[in-house]
Amino acid sequence: MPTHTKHLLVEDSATKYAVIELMRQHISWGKNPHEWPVNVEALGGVDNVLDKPKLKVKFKESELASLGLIVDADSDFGRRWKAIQDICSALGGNPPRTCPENGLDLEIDGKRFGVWIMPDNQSAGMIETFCRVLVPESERKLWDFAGECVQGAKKIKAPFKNNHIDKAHIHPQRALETPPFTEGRNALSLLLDVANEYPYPSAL
Amino acid sequence: MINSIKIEGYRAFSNFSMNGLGRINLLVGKNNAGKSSLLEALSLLCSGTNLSALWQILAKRGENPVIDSQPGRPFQLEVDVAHIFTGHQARIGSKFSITATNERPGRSITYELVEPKPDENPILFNIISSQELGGAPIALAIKVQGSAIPQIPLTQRGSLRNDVYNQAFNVKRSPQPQSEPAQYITTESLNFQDLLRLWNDITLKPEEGRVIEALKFIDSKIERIAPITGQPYLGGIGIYRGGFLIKRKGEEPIPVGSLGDGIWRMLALAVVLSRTKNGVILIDEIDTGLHYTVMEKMWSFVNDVSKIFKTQVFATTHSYDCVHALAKICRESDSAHDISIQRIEVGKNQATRFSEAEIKIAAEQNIEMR
Repeated sequence: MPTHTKHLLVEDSATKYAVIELMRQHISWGKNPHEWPVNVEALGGVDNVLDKPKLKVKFKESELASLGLIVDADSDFGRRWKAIQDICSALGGNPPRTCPENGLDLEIDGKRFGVWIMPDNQSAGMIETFCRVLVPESERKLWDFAGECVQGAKKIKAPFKNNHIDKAHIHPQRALETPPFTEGRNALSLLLDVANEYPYPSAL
Repeated sequence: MINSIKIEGYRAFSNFSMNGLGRINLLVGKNNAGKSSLLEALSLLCSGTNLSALWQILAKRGENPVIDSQPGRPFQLEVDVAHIFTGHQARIGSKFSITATNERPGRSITYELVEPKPDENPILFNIISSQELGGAPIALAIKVQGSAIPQIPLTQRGSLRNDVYNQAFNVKRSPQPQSEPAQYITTESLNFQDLLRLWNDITLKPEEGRVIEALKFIDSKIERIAPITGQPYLGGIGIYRGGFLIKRKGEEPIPVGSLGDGIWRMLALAVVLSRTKNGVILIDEIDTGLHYTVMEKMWSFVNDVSKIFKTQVFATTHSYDCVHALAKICRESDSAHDISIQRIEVGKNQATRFSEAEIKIAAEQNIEMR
């Protein structure tokens, strides 16, 4: 079995399959994980992705040529960027003062180290925030309407956290698609396929 | 203890360093990455003025020049020193140096090919005729801790001749401020003459019991082992193993050679570990002949004995089981064992080091260190 030289670490399997689907649109992608051009691993939370000692060891893995991370900025982009800068320094890199708009992409010790902070390397948010750009123009009004539903739900005390509003937004959006629960394999629907593990409010 | 080593000009290592060394160091990496060369460099560093390490390294690799036999002239075995230098050239100026840094007292050795000065070492230069020295003669100059020893003449082919080596070996030198040469266990382990010689140092001592304990990892029925004395020299007729009888529970003693490769390997490991105190042990492909189920016990033994005798171990492997058995030792307790794994890679001038904490993480996360 061939050894992967490119590794991408993400927070959860929802992100994993959304990202895989996005990449599948742009590059050839094998059927089985060992045929994938990139080994994508869901580590079960941002703290596991940004675990400095583990990343230092991962970066030394035999045959590793590229290591990428995708993490959510969540509510404090500055804090997340500071954590990435610390990790970059620990790996022997020299991080820039501010996060590049197109994500961090550095060469360290002959290897590539890249980071994308969801949603846009500049703002607070998460992959679900990023998913807004995946909604087709024809469904933009539905997206806005789904957003209004979520805001309405919050007003009547739906028990999701304020900073999870973008996660909550995706569920009514999917219900409003035509036909509902489409089997079309786009990034958004794949994200939803694995979204059950999330603590979404049942009211939605 | 050697904490770090710097190698310049030795074989493929034009400028290489390996840092953060521990009491036990496992060297990993692909074929031809230079793991065995690194053991050789350590062997040369520890051997100081003793030429036997150089001779054995070149002879084991079969780095001999092609010589036309001439009727009526006694044949002298030669080893070609060209290959120990980066670039494989035996010419004036070819040089390598090996330095142990962060060590007290520090150790360094330099081998350089120079213009001969026969007056420095007339006994050795008289062995080689001027015809053999050739039109552009060269000599080997060795410096240990910065102090030069008398030059050693080479042939015009850049080779060290057996008779010169033997004479140089017999010359008594002033004692050097260093420990005894490193014990180097090759993939073929040790031949039985070497093993018998080492056995003499542990016979009837508690270390003898340790050897039996180690052999039991392979065969739990082994009760005793004893050397056979008064044997004629058998190496010349191709006999490599022998010299010991092994007694298994309820059976008559049998020659050690009747048992498998693993017993011979473990015997060599156990004897060398049990009689080397405050020294350096080099083991090429430590897992050779050992089944994966024995690997953890083997490392546990190496760990315990090297701790007792304050020996530093450098071993190479390609084996996943061997690496993970060592990792298991690291994970067994929170106390430090002073273990490192170092990956050697072609084209990289520094080994990739995994500390003990990192070895634990790599094992837990299934991260490939080899």
